[in-house]
Amino acid sequence: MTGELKVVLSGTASDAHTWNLIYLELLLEQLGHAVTNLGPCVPDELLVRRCRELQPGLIVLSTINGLGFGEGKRLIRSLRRQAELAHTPIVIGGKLGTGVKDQAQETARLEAVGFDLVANDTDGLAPFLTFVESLCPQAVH
Amino acid sequence: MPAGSALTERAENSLGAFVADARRAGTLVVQPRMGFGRPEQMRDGLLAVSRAAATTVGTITLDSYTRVGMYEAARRAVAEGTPLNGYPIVAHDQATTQSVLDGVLGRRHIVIYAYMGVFPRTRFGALLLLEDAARLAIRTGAARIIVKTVAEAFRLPTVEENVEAIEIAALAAQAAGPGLLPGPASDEVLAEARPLVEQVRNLSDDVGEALVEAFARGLLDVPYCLHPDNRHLSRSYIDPDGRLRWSDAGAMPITPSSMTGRRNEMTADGLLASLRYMERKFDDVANRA
Repeated sequence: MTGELKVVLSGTASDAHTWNLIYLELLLEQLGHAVTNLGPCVPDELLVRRCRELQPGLIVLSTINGLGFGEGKRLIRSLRRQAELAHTPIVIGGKLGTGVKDQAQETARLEAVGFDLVANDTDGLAPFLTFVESLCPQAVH
Repeated sequence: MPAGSALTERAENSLGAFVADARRAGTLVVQPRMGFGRPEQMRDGLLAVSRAAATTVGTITLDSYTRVGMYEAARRAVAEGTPLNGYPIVAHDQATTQSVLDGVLGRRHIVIYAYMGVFPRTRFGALLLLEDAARLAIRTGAARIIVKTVAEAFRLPTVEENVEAIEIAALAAQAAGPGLLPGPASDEVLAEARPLVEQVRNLSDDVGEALVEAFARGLLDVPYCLHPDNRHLSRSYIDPDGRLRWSDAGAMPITPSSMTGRRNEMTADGLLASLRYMERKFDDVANRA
């Protein structure tokens, strides 16, 4: 049995794509979670402010313009600096690089600076879905 | 545009390139002397020239006062409604002149962007879709096409891939047949659009105010648009024939006959299926070839 998570879903400041955000919103709602979708092109300070206000159980950053590795490094620092968000599960996924050769190294870097999961589209949805499920309180018998 | 030529973007070259190209094609560019004091007359004249059955350049001929530097006389004539023998470009404010040129400047032309959605993953499928877009551009009278490459589904293209796309689109355009005839689909679009436009215009004499009010009420509602001013109630999908259909019109005045029987909620998988329609269509052709 899964519990309802309060999720903040957002694009990065440079990324105007929306279909990925709509897809993830539908997916998370179908799983029974409550989603606040901040949409595309979200300035860093707006994302931080909304997350501090909402205190979500999960923050999902989705970006598919190939600049995600760089944006992610910047964003995670801002988010983790907030006392309220120091331990919030934060995920980033999508098309994070522009055909970058050392994708594994970039992924490891992002995880090292504070993302709980870095999911490239080549990994498919399974890692993300498994992670979300792991956050949900289990029914106690 | 003849194969092998490239129109430079610098303003001082664009007219020269246009005329040179017409000359190479054996076409004489025709240009009038034309100027009216009143902005609406000037605009009507420019539009008529642009629609003439010839290769034309539009002209704004200045009035005599403005030409000799008698700007105060030109301003007085405008204020008093005295007819002038040309357009007093210094006496009219910039906004007025902008409205005269709106849509006319730069030899108004249609630009087609090759398919912007989820792209075929096979090389053959990608090039088929690109060729389809080039034929669409020719048949709809577009002057220009922005291409997509075989890399579109995966990464940013190399220069070689972009050049390949440009040359393949040019070839397809050259080989394109006669134009599309309007059919039942376009009648349907018109029937759907008319009440939308009328209801919005009824909200205010000022189109800007009307549009703001229309979005606030959900009389206009862009499907899947996450903007906070958008109601976000409407939904659409691609039907088995590849046509875009409403599954939910929200508060918009879309008549029931425009909608199919399908009113189920859009699911995550349903969204992906619609988004991938073109990718699958062209990759299927490629895989069967």
